[in-house]
Amino acid sequence: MIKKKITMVGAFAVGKTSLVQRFVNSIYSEKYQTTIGVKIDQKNLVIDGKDVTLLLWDIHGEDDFMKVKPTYLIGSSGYFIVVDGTRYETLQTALQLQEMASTVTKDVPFIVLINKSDLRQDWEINNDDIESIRKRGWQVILTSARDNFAVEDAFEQLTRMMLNQ
Amino acid sequence: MKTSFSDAITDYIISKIPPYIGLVMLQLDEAGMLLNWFGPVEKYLEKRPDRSMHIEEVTPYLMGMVPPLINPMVLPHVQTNTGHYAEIHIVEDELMHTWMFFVDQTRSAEKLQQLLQEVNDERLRIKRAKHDSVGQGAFSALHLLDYVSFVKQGDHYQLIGNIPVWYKELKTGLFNDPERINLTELFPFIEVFQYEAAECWETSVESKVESGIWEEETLTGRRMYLQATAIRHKQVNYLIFRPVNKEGKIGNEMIQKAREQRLTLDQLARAEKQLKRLLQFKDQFVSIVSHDLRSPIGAVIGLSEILMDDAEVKEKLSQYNYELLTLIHEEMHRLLDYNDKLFNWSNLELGNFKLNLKRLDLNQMADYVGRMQHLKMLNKRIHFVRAFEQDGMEVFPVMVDETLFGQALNNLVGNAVKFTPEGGEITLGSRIVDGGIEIYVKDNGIGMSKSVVDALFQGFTRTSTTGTLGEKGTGLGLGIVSKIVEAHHFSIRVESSPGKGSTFIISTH
Ligand SMILES: Nc1nc2c(ncn2[C@@H]2O[C@H](COP(=O)(O)OP(=O)(O)OP(=O)(O)O)[C@@H](O)[C@H]2O)c(=O)[nH]1
Ligand SMILES: [Mg+2]
Repeated sequence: MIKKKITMVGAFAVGKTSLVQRFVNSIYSEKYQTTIGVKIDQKNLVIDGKDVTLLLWDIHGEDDFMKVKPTYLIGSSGYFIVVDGTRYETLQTALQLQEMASTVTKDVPFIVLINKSDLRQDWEINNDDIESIRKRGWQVILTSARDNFAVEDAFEQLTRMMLNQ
Repeated sequence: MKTSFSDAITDYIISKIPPYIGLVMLQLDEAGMLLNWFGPVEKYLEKRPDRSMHIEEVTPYLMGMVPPLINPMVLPHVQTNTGHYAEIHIVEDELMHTWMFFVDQTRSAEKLQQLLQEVNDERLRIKRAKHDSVGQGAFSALHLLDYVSFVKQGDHYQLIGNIPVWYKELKTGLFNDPERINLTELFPFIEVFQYEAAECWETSVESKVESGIWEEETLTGRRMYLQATAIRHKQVNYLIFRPVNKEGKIGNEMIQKAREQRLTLDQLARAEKQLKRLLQFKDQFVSIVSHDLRSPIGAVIGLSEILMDDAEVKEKLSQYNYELLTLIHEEMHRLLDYNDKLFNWSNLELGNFKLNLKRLDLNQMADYVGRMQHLKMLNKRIHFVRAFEQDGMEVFPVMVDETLFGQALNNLVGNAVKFTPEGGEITLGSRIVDGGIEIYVKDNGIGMSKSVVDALFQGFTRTSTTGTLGEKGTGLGLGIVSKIVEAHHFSIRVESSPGKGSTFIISTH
């Protein structure tokens, strides 16, 4: 059995918890309940014929009150950087977090998730922004925890990247 | 058990783990199998532990964390499936055994959650409000100029922006669904105007046409004149209304005034709300911090007591060093006392208490206060006198919360002890005055000047809190007293002059 740790990082209220809950328990709630510290969930997957147990570390959002502690990232085989498409500033937070995460995790694979794609008409992040992230050589996936859009794909893709490391 | 702690682990526990009841410890061998466990493990483990179990069976969420990836590994605020929060320490000792300590953080995490939730919700709300107004462009703010604005969408008119005050005063202004309004039904005048408007709306360029003036009646029977304007702007059709005077000039002064006044009131209300929130934030912060400071302070006191009681240590230390140790012990007690006062004060400020009213038994109160202050009074050879004037009353008709009121009296008597020289006298008394009962604490100590008296209850005072024997004070005691008195709907005043002693009087009516 292969076990892998994936950490969710990003600004507050971008949808980290919603993505994990959608993926692990197939549930979604409109109600926002901010995470304190870390909540760890598990999910078993079969990827290319291999059994994998994912440990999903859903950590609190980064902000002025609560800085994300690097310890939470130690031991991650991969991580998601989650951005809220409707809030441009969450992209800036994402860039800072990526720097921290890559230092702590020694360059394990990661994917940038731009979430809330169901609200596309309200997005502050446009195609140029997305293009410029891709130009860094980063993977970007647009997701919606609400509409269950590309959530599973994202987890499977990151797992594949981790297994190929 | 004790023998299995290595020195390194003992050091770690002493320096890093706050001593409190409920600490959970696990000891694992180099393969991660459970060797020993202590404390209420069911809070954090998903199975009953057994000696043959692997750590990942009982804490699946910590898979891959044993042995620790860095040593020690400290994970704050880990939320378990049982709804608890813990700071988890994972430490490896020199025998390659892994130790895990679970320090409960449920209470502080829940408080933090509550606070942060509020802050984050508020920030999202502000963000959304900005979003909405941007979406509607410049027209969304027209209500500030007393306009009501609609976008024409097919046959419907959709309200954009907010509604100005005057619109709500209109008799016809009653509608159920402000988003979708039948304007021609509301204002028959529009029936006529819409043909003119349609011409404007069908042009491909930017254009605008104004209607004539018509009259409406307000709910209070006042007459109001209105004018409509059809606008085509950036391919969107708008219809806006505004009040005018009889000659068709904008600026009904009454309306303008009312609007300005409302804006100011709104702003004031908002500012006040914000201020209240901030103050509360501060009190909650103080409350959390002082609560969490209790255990480390307690630990230092406990540790210094262990040292002081250890005959061997006592023998080895020089007299001077032993005095220093005693001093540490004393000062930590003072810090603890101060911290407790802070905690009480912030909770009083937050309204985190409920009055449990009972009939006041002054004798019992005096017993309590006498006990609390016994040592200090003994030190200064102070007489503690009771002077209860009951005047034939069968029952004493004052209702108090025994704990809180006892605390208030204790603070007052404690203060009196501080400012009364050796051999002095302190009286706890009650007397019947016109229309009610007063309870007082009187001393024949050094007294206060008028300016000191005036400043006494103004929150924290930093003036002259040093007692006659150099006793140090916190400056918090009287603040707590006045909060408690306030909570009972009593009042407090002071009679004092330098050299003549002080009397603190609580009026219970
Ligand atoms: N429309 C939409 N809303 C979403 C989506 N994902 C999450 N949300 C909402 O966004 C809010 C925040 O979601 P969370 O999942 O709690 O965000 P988080 O990143 O875990 O937040 P913190 O724990 O505070 O850092 C909630 O009200 C969710 O319902 C999405 O895909 N679409
Ligand atoms: Mg969350």
